[in-house]
Amino acid sequence: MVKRKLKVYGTRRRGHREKHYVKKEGKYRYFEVRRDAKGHFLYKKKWNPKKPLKAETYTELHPLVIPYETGREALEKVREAVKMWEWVEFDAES
Amino acid sequence: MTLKAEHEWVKNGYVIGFMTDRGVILDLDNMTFKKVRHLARTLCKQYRLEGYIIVRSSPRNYHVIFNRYLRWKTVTMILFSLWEAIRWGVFQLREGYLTLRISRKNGKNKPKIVFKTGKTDKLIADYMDVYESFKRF
Repeated sequence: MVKRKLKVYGTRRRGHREKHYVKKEGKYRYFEVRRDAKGHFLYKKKWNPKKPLKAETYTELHPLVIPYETGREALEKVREAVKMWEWVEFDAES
Repeated sequence: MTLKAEHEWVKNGYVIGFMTDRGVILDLDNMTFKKVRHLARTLCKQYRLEGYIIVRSSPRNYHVIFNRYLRWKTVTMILFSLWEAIRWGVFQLREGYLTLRISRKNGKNKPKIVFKTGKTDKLIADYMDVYESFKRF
């Protein structure tokens, strides 16, 4: 069967780097922090300078392409894919 | 009132698009329904596209989906035979497939089917499958 495709597009972001003071160690450390569209904290992960942030942690403008076979399958896949990302407001100058 | 339909960025949230490289779909902006139907009917006859549906995405903006499966070369040939679709076609062809919106965008409603004629068992069936699935999304 031919694989059909759907495109989900918009400006999406998964997380970003933030500096936090660690009480125990008395040092500043970088964490990968994810916030929702309102700016509320969701979770943080330790960030290692030797392992830089993945490409997906930056703001993405490229569309998500979702392959599917049936409409119901497409709906489930899109729901999952959409939840993975934070969809941010974006106003282009042009 | 501006006569020329400008490209509109997705300002908030996300938009879901139906993608294909197996048939002809058109995005006709700033046009009356009569003209859209005339163009669709002419193309359908000329290239034996079997059938078509017209979907209204917003007032004076329409999408047309033709039923027949075609090779990419033929799709490009048909797309560029119509000067009304050239501007949209150039941007789509850069990506290698054609896309039409099936969800809300910047406060605009979902597209609505306004006209259906001919066979609907190939590309139109593919479109209708996702259109129906995402109706309440």
